[in-house]
Amino acid sequence: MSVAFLEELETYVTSIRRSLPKIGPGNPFRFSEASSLNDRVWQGDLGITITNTIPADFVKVDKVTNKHLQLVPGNTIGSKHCLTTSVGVELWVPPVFNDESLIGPCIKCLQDTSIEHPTHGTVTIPAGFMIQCTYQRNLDQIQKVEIRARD
Amino acid sequence: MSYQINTITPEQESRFPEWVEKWVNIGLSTEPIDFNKAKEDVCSIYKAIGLKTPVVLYAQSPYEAVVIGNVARLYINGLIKTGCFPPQVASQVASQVWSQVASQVASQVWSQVWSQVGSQVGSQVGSQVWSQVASQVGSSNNFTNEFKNILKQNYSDFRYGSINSSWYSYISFLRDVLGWENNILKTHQYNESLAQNSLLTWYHDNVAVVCDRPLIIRRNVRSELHNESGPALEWRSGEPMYCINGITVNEKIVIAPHTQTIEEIEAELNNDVKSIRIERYGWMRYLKDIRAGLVDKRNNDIDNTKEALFITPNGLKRFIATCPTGKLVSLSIPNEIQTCEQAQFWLANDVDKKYNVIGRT
Repeated sequence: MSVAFLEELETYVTSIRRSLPKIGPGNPFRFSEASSLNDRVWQGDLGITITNTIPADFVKVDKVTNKHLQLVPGNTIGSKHCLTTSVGVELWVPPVFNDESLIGPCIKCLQDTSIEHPTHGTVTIPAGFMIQCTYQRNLDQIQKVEIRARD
Repeated sequence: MSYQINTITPEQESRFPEWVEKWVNIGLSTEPIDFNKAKEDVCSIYKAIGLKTPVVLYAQSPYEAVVIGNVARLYINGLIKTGCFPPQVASQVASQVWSQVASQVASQVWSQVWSQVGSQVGSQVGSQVWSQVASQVGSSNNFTNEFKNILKQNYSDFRYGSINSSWYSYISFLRDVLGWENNILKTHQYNESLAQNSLLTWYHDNVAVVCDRPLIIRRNVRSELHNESGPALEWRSGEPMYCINGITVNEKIVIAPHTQTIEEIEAELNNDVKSIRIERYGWMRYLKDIRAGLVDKRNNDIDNTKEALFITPNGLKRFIATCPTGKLVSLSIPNEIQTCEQAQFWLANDVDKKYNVIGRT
């Protein structure tokens, strides 16, 4: 049974790679102007969520520069989720922001703002919305940290 | 005299493909550089910004450039404060462009020339090179901690040459095709010349190290670094970089993937790399070797994915899902998770189901 389903998954992945309609790889996504609080889109393992609250301990970045454009810590290709511009955004960052963080920057978009990635589709947030970045949990990473803490 | 370029003629537009081709070829060239010419350009740049002629050295890879440059610095001066070549020329050119070329014209050249060259050179090859240097500096165990700290402080003091060919394609199009004139272009020309004769240059106030182009660059149809049977990029020093579809992996994953062990696969923390590991090991073989049994499966209509939850005899749960980019991913999940839906909520750190997922890309 499991083998049959795996074959089904592989067929599906092949269809994605061949860019069949509807499930083409890396399709762009634009939040609608009618988006509601807590609506969330996943760009790979980056969660982009409509919010209206900036966490109390977040620190506002006085001047958003190119170094703030990458929204996921790290040097790997997978971490290159980047704002396309520093213009027209206000940005708040958590007090601790590293590759073990589950919550990332909070961004107020004063104009239409896009987040790009080398393989995933571009996500666009309409002007006037605020978003919160979050990250997918990684059990292996959590257990590694727990083991390190026990050592 | 103040003026502004407001339009692009059809004849000028017709030259976009020529510019893209020229600068992509420069960006992806594997021909050896003419070091003497590069040295002249570096000296001209230092002179133009009022610095003394530096010691100019040659390196075969970016990492070698950082190491050689720092050794030379220490040798010449001992420890000195950071005073690298300021990127002021680029920023001055940029500000002049914005003020003298109407924004829509600049945007058009940007999207037609810069972004097309950039998507094939900078964002694919350039970012991988950058990651490799960061990783090598972080793991350079041959050096004392003191020297490693120096490397960490200034390894990013690069000025990109051919690897940043998108920038030079953009400025040269404005200058050569649209007729943009500005005094700053005199200084820029040294950078542009150097870009055609170096991959990048590591700068400091009295030392500059010019890095040669790679010996091999292999890519897939999406321009990502990719080679399933050898290095995707190899420096002239012999250092290889192994990549599968733009993801940096180790040699074993490329050359002998069948020799990977389940322990190595399961210990992989980077999900992109783990997915590649299993794919090259063989998904069927992987599930068989971890003796996985199917617990749940579903079509996730919101995410447009197919998902399955497996359990191994020792109780470990593996959530396997398709990804919109055309990958299968295998993610570890806590034992208490019983369904694919629960797995997704756990991964999203949303066990209270507070958020409405409306898409995945």
